[in-house]
Amino acid sequence: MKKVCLIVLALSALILSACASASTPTSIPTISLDNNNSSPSTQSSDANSVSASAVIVPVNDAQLSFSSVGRVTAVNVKVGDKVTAGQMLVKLDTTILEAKVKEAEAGVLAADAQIRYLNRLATDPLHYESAAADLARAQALLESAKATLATQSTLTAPFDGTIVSVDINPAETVVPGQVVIVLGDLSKYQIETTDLSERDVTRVQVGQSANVFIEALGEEFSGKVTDIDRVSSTLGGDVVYKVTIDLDKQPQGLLWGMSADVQIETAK
Amino acid sequence: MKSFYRSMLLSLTLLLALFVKPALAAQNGSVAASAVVVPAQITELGFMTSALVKEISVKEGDEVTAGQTLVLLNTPEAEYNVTAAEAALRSALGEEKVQSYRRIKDRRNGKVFFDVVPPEVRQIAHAHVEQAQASLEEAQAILAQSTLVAPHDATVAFVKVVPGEYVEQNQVIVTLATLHTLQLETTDLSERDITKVKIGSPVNISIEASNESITGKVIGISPRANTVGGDVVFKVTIAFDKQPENLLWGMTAEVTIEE
Repeated sequence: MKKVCLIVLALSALILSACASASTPTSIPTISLDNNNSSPSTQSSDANSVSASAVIVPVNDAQLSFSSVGRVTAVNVKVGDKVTAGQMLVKLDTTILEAKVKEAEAGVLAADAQIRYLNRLATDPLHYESAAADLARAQALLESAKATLATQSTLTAPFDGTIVSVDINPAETVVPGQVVIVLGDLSKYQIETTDLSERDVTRVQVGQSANVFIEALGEEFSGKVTDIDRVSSTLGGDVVYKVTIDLDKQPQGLLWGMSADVQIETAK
Repeated sequence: MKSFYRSMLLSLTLLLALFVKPALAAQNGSVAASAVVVPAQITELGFMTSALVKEISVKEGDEVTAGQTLVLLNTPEAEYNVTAAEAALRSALGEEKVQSYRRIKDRRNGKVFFDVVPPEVRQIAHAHVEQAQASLEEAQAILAQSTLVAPHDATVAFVKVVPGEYVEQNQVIVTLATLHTLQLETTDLSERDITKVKIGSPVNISIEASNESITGKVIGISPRANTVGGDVVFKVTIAFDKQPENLLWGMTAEVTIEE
């Protein structure tokens, strides 16, 4: 009697653990050569095709950050805003940089007055040349200060796109390289595989056609391989290569990060 | 034999629960998800310089108003630089005055003249005053970086340092949050459901802590997915139609977004 109980308990534990592991993501593609039915949602690579999981990403995206330390005075955009190239997104406090420009301007004035004075007195060329060099130096300092003010204090959009994330608020500080805004051109998406193994990548070539099943839309779309990574990356111990696929037609309702299953036709 | 049936029943109900739960998640046309209560705005304040903390004038829970001083750093060199720049400005101003009063003795045709200083010399003196003025502004701006002030009215949510501690550049010292304006952010809304969610969609909210059912509206959909435990999820932001009392940051809620 006890034995039966134990067996039942062990069985139910087994079933439960099987369920649990089924809900965690499986990333390693399995190659089953005998499987000839090409259902796009199941991951199977056969002699004529290579299957992989993929993710939807914009063709063009940028992680924007400042090149200097500063305190933010204004954040002009929020997530979802559409921006155009050159539009100002974030502004830093410029009190110090403005003071530096003013200082350099005064320096130019002083050097300029000195050279006019020497010119009027018709002094010896040596003094004059020295003053001319001083003026050139002061002007260079001014240009440098102005360029610093213009380039380091504002973050502008490098291309037309949509604001995808804003990780900064007014009054917060930034350091060089800290990503404060992610911008993406959400008008055009492409598909990037995440788990295409090294065993399959040799059969994939640029120009091959692919079927892309987008889970969120529940629909299949056609596309073409446009790029294959030249360097591998590793995914949970597997060596994988990122393959990029362009969709023949951009479907409505795509969002950055949605997942897809792709099947690349390798036999042609 | 009884215990056999009992364990069989137990495992069956467990299995059933596992399969039925996801089916409950999305019922006819609406989208269900878990969500968490967050402030509408969180500001994480830090310093641009690294120094010792001199004074902290607020504590967690305090209501602060825009412009109020929160934390002061100990930066004697910045203070000294301001004093030095002030002195340099006074000196330049004095020099400018001297040049404007100065007369130069000159003899022309046997007569003695007292000429004013050439205009260029006075212009140079004036340019030096402007330079000193700009230097002082710069030194003052650097000194001002040692003070942290509240950028807007808010509640102090966290204070991460005590006086005497050393803070690094860009380290978060004080977190301000608008606790009077809270909203919800979903944590597990799947990519399969996101296409049904639209900005402005009405939402039924069930707050677990107070066992209350209230309504709200979708005000934001993240354009980019996150992955949570291998699942692709999208963050959806929901505003309350009327914010309930006693709601705290971090409380959980179940939301049903109507299509």
